[in-house]
Formats: sequence, structure tokens, C-alpha cells
Amino acid sequence: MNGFLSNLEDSAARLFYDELQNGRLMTTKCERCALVFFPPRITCPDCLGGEIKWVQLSGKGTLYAFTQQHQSLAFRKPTVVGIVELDDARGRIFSIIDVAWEEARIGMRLKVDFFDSPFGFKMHKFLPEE
Amino acid sequence: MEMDVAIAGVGMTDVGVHEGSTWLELAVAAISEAIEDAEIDKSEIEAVFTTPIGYTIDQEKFIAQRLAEYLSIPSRSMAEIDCGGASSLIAVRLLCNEISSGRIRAGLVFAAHIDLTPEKMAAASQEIVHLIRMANGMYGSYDSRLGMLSPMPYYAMSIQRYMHEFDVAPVDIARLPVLLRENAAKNPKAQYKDPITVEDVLSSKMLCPPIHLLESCPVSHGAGAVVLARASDVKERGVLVIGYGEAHDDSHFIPATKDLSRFPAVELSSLEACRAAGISPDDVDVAEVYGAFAGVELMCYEELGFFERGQALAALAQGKTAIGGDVAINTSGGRLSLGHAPYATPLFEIYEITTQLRGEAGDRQVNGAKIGLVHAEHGMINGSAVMILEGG
Repeated sequence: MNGFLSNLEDSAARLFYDELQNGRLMTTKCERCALVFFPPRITCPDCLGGEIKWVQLSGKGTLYAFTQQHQSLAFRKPTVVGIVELDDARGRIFSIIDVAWEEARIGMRLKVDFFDSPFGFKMHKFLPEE
Repeated sequence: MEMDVAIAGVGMTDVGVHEGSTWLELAVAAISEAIEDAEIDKSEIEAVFTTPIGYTIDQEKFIAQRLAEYLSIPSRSMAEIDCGGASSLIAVRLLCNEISSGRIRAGLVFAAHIDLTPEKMAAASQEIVHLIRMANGMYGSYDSRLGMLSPMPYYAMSIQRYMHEFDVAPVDIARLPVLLRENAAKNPKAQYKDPITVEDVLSSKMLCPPIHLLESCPVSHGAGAVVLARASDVKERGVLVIGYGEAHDDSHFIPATKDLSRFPAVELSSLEACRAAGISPDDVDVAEVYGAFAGVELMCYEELGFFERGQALAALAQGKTAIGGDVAINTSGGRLSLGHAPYATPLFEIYEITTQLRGEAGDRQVNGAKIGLVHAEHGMINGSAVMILEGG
């Protein structure tokens, strides 16, 4: 199934998934303007500074919106997918929300966890914080 | 704005699934109709602009060149423009600039669109593994890992945020597909013409909650073509281009921080276009709005300036967007019922507005239509283009 996935676009994405295999949700911080942004990039999207440092995220955040995919290679209904606003970075992460559809609520507090995805690598998902 | 450019002629195929037709055959049909409609000689065409022919097909190269050879059209300006769903409207704008600058007197924009059906895509057979990878790659290094093959989850979450913020009930949105279907029933080019009810919409399959099947555009094939010329060269049926606006956010699909229930590019592009035309959105008689899903179509009505924020649903329920209402929107049947062939869709919209402003729309004619608006977008409405047209 992995053969259906597109190529990763930059070295930051490759490093992000490498770290994910070790159970760490990482992103990049600009050494020039100090912005911590998600997703990680090789250049700061604000000041275009090229010196970046990798930092580990707490993995905590708030559910901003959610749905269930119809056409996709994996993670269709009943899996819930959604956008999580991260506590300690500017930006949002699109992920699996490991909550029953009826239980999911905009604004609920979440924390990251990891699991073996059908694509053959470790992937992030989010659970209720408590 | 003194653009001195007119829509001289329009052409389009039926919208739907053209099994067995190639992009070239569809394009030739639309172009032949547009040139005949423009009542000009083919030799007067000096520019040929086009777009790619689909998102999830084996990419053909040199589309404009091959077409120009096929129909024997020498030219002095040629380009293939790719900006997602807004491509062909942006191509029309670039041709307007060419004509406005004085370098070109008349030119052609065409777009043909063919895509894999969702069923073939989801079957994900080995023969189309390269197309699946291409489709998945549209969602970048991160979202792609959720197996994405369609942008529908983004739209679903945008609509969810809007419903959350304005306390919208599903029935409020479900009225829109019913109205669009009524319009499509009067349009011989439309893909879906059988009447539907609000109950049909709400009981149709839940694709990506809150989006039901009947609140979603189909995957359609088709081609459109537009001939543009100097306004002074066009006879009485010419429709003037009087304003244009365009804006793009610094996002593609999910924005980093912006509210998912807002589409600032739509607001900005409409403001620019209306200012250029010297009109207010209230002056628009007929509009074609690029809404791939019912909820976001209604949200775009507000961003375009037709209604205050949060008021589009009430306006729909009161009939303000129907033929005979304050502003008739998507008289063609819109993306949901006319059908949606993204690269060609903006040209379908120009076809409809031109037909309306000429008073040639038959059973779906908006009486006395004088000012028309054409809207297109790309991404998850991360970028937007708006063109204002005026009838003679």
C-alpha cells in the first residue's frame, strides 16, 4: 500500500517521519526570528531564515474541526480525522482523531499518540487529553 | 476600468461523462461553437490560451499547440495556464490584458477536462498506481499520509466550522441543491435535470460529514471555449468585460492560522472586481459562483458581498438567489447540477452569464439582466478570481 503514497517533498518531511518512528512529534524553530512553526520546513515561512533548529512538541492541542473521509487510501469511515491546533507551534496538524464520531467535539483537548499505520510506518494520532 | 474587451463568442459541450470522447474531440466541439457564435473568421484569432486537461489523468503535453495545429490556427500569443480550478478564468484575464495592450485584436481561450471517476480512483488498481500517487501528492508531505485522494475532507471541515459558528441546521443547506436542480432542469447542457426534494438531499449518502452526496458536485467531463475581441470590433451581441479581481492566500488547502469558515481571497477578488467595474455587488443581476459543495457555495455568496455574513441561508430560504430574486445565482444549475469539470468550469460560467446578458437563456432567463458576475477558485478556496460582465 505504501507504493500509492507520493514522495515526501523536502528533507524536513523526511526527518519529521524518521523522528515519528521513535515516538517523537518534532517540528522546526527559526533561529533568526524564534518562530516555532508546523509543519516543519527547511526555511522559516515568516522571515525566510534558513537556519532552523529541531524542537520536540508537547503533542497537546485543541480539536478545531473534524470529519470522516469518503474516498481515500486508508482511514475511511468510521475513523475520525481532524485538524488539531497545536499548543506550542504556529500551525495545525491534520491527523487521526481516536475518538468515536458521536464523542468528538470542536474544542476538545487532545494529546498525541503513535500507532502502526496501514502504510507500514508509525503515524501520529490524537487521543483525549484525560 | 477601460478594458475595451468583449466576449465575442462562447461554446461548450454538454457536461457529463463523455465515455469514449478524447480531450481533443471535446475541445474541437466547444471551439467550433464559440467561433461560429462570434461570427468572426478563424483567421482573425491571434491568441490561443488553454489549461491542462485534468487532475488525475495521464498528463498530455502541448495542449494549445496540438489544438492550434489540428484546427489550423496560426497565432501570435500562446500559453497553457495552470492555477487549479481558477485556471481558465485567469487565462481569460491574461487574454484580456493582451487585447487591452493593443498587441492582439482577438483570441481564443479553451479548456477541456477529463478525470478518473472516483470509483476507478478508489479501486486503486496497479495500472493506475502513477495516477494515485499524483492525486495523493496534491496533499503535500503531511496530509497525504492520511491516504488523501480527494479534497472533500477540507471542505467538510470548513462547512462544519461555519455551521458551528452560525448554528446552522442541515436543512438550511439542503435547500440549495433543490434550487440548483430546478435551474438545471431548464438547461439542456446540464448533467442532472431530474427534480429532487430537501428530503432526498438529507437522506442521500453521507460522503464526508456534513456533506451528503446530493450536496457534492459530480466528477464531470466537458470542454468550454470563449472568443474575446476588442469591444469596438464586436457587433451588438458582444458582452463587455468591465472588471476583474484576483487574490491568493498564503495557503493551499488548510491554512496555518486563518479561520476555516472564511475565504478572504473571495472577498478581496470581489472587492477589486466591483471597484474596477464601478459597481456594488447589489448591482449584479446574475452570477455564476464556483461552489463545489452546497455549504461552501453559500459561504461564497457572503464573501462575494451579496449578503451579510451569516445571512446567505436566510436569503436562500427567502428565494433571493432564485431566478426572479435579488440576484439570480447559478442559473446554469451550478456545479452540483450543471456538473463540474474544473479546468473548463469557469468557461461554462462565462457561457451562462453571456447567454443571460444577451437575453438568450430561454426558460431560465433572468428578465432585464444587465450586469453579471463570474467567480472561480482553487485549492480549498485559497485563491479566487472574479470577472464582471456587462450586457449591451
